[in-house]
Amino acid sequence: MSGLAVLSGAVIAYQIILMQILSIVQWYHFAYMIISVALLGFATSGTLLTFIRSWAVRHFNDLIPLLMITSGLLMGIVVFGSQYSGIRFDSYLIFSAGNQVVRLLFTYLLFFLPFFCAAIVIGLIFIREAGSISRLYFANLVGSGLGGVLALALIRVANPASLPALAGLLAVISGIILIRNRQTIHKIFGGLSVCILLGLVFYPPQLTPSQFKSISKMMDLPDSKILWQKNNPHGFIQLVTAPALRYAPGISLAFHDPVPAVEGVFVNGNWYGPLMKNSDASRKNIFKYMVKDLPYRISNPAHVLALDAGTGWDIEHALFNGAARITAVESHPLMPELLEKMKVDWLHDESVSYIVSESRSFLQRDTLKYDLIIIPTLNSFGGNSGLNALEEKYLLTREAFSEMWDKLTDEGMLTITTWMDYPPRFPLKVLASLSGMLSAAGIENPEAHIIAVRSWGTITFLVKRLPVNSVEIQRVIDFCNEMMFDPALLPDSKAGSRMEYNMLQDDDFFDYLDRILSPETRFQFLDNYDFNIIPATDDRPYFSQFLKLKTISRLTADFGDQSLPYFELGYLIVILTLSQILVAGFVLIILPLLKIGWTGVNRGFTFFYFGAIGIGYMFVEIVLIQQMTLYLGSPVYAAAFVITLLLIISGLGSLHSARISAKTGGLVKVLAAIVILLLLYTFILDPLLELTLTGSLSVKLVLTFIFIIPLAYLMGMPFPVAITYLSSSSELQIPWAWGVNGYFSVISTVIAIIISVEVGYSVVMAGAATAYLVALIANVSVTGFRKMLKQ
Amino acid sequence: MTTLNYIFYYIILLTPLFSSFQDRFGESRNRMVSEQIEKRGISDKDVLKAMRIVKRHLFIPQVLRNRAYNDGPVPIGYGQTISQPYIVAYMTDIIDLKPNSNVLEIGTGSGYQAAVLAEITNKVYTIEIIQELGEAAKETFKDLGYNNIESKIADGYFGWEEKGPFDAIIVTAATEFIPPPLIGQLKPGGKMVIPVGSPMQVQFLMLVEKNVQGKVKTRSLFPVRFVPFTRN
Repeated sequence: MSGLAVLSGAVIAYQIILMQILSIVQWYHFAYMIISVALLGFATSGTLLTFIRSWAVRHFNDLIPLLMITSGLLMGIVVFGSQYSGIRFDSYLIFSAGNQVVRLLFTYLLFFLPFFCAAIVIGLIFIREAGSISRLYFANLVGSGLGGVLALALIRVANPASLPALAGLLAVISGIILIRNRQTIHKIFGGLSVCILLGLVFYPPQLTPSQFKSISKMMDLPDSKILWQKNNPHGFIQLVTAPALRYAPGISLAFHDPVPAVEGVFVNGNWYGPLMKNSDASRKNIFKYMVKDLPYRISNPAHVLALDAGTGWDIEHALFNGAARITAVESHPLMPELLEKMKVDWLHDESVSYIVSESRSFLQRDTLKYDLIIIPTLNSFGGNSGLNALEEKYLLTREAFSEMWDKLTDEGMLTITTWMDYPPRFPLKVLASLSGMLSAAGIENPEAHIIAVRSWGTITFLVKRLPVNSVEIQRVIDFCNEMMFDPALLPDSKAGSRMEYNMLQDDDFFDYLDRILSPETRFQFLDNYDFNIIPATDDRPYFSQFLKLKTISRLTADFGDQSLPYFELGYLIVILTLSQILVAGFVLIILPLLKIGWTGVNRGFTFFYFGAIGIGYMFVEIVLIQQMTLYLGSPVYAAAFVITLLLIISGLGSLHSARISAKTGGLVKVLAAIVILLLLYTFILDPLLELTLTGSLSVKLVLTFIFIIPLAYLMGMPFPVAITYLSSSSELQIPWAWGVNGYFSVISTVIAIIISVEVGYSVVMAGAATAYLVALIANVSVTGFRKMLKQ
Repeated sequence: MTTLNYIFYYIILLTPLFSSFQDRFGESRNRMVSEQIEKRGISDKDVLKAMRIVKRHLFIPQVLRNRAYNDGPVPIGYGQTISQPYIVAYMTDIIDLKPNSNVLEIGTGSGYQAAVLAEITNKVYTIEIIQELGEAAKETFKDLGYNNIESKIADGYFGWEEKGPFDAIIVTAATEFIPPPLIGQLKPGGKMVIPVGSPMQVQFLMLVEKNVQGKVKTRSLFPVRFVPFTRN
């Protein structure tokens, strides 16, 4: 049992580590791919076990340690295999270079192998010891839960490249413990594996980020070098210097001085912000030439709140403009250490409070009011091909904007800057969000409260609590004339003045802005626009997701057949992932097992029941991670906390499930309770969490326990109870059940994301309730209504 | 027939075959020009001729040559791409080149854009910051006989002051700001064009115009007219 728990822990730890590594070398959304691959490995093991069941049970003592060691060894080496230049794929090129799809499939296969080996071990133990399934499932779940915690701990102390081998060592050790005295070959194999993995821990091969990642482009510059780097569950942070790196996004054409060189900070290989090398006043002169200077041109905000402050560009800007007090909020816990190391002068300025927290969480608990709230610049120069489309941005939801509005002083302002894009998406969604915020605040004439100023590349929006007055309007006009900017939105502005210095091909963009601003035309425009520019919500927190499935054909007609991936790669890759695993799972699991599994009594029960609980469990897990991210304030720790708690408590539920029988109706009660709880959570969990949002972290943790424990406990029961039932009624169907459960778990992780993008997380929760209802009906079909009623 | 005669005979026989093999992409290139460029409204004869002449596939890594004439950008390594053919033509068209125009390109990349420019104007200067790309492009220019292209490996931010001022500047390397030294090296009446858009993404063009008084204005030019449903 302990070996099973350790192996399960290693598998989950490896899964989390792979997610971080793929975030570093590729992009964040590959997390879904990893979850799918892991589950596919588990599900496919069911197929194999069906065919080699009796042989495998006969060789149980030989196979178990051997496969455990193999799995651990593979964990250490496949990551570097996937980095080999002949295999390495690049998500940027996935739709434009045919061989990339083959490379992606090969990468899938490599990542699949260690999960597959581990899953055979777990499945084989379950099959041989089906009578003790409750205890074994308990060990599996508790081990998995603790594996998540272990992964977070490892990420804090080790370099990303060393991590896979560390997780692998754990699996190898679990195998070595089970080697018997006479198994000499096993011992040699175990020893060799330990040596190889230790070698990979201390001398890990280099991870190679995509050539299109910011860090790669930076390292291609002459004389570039990494000055400092450190890992953390929030992301691998690197400080890089290169003489050719200069930073002045969208600066005015009136600026004639040299653009200052800066150092660059990267997190997981993505640009995070610049660090000015010293506090020379002349270098900071560039602030005056940026559109972002707008709020300081019309007012003198005393207390400034800089959200997602990162490397402190907005802090320096506020200090430059004489702000008396600056509160800056930054989520990455290593940032203060980096700033300290770089001797950033403002860090110890008594007018600056630099707070490490998720910005949204800070907004919810902070009680102060601010004269100016700054949201960092959105998008990037030229965009990023929509690779961030599926990144949850809780700072840019309708609810977050309303919270910001409430934190403004009577004369307060909120400002947000974004890069211009084409076709227009980011600026329109920003304005839609700001207009929505004003409507929610009961402002009937939003056009009187919003200003927007545009340079050749960026546009800054400014919302005032009070209507913009004539003096401020004149200041904006003067600012534009001095810096060669153009007002895009200005109360009482004349249309002709919107393109004095920076012309667009036509005035469509301004027409779109006007339609969004007007409450009469806004909703129709947002609904009909070819891209999704409806404001994000906490339920659908994907601000950077713009692709509408229903307008794809029109976009390809306008921009060419090959243009679609260039609009939004992120979402398309998730859809591609789903189609791949649908096919792969069907071929590897459903087809081979169909002949064996779809026979005998209760075949319908096995298929629908195990499929449904696979979908239900994964849907619940994904929704709870989303809800707790917002509630607890840190995506990384919220995910770890939810997964660990869910698995351990489900493990306890499994342990208790030995007393429940599928035949007597006990399981029906469990399933009914799950359905009721899920339906209840669908409607009341969000309001409940909102009510307690401002509570202390300890109170919130206790409440999280209260919310999750009953559900997780019950959700741990359906699988082992039904396996016990099958072991007595149709034992041959156990691998089929294991495979079906795995297949539906695989596809449901990706389906959950697509549902949340299209209609929101609350629908995913309702989907989970429906799935458990299907399982209940399947169980009733076996138990019979009479028996159930008798109970 | 002597052995020498046989050899001579086969050389004569195989020459057309060999030359057609050498430019087996000729048909694709003509199709690229007619379907991707002319149909989208570019009619300048010099630009169309240059796009027909320059063998785009020779500027693309061997393994991706079959995609050379597709309607999209092609990666060339180091996170760089060779722009979509239409964007190259559009940029060349928009800067109104004359045979005696003095042109600077920032971001040589594969060298394809410089080669297209060199088919129209007498002198092209091009700067690349990544050494490997700069050296490879220089070699390609030499192999293809582009003696009117002068290239160097340097930081494009500073431009090429001693060769300026320029009638036109093309900044093909993505930049978050328009470098002040480049505006300084642009002649009054000159044009600077910058494609905006990350690699492998739909791009639009930023045109910077300096009038005869030295005053600078920008103009965003979109390659495709985007008319959403909302207009109906």
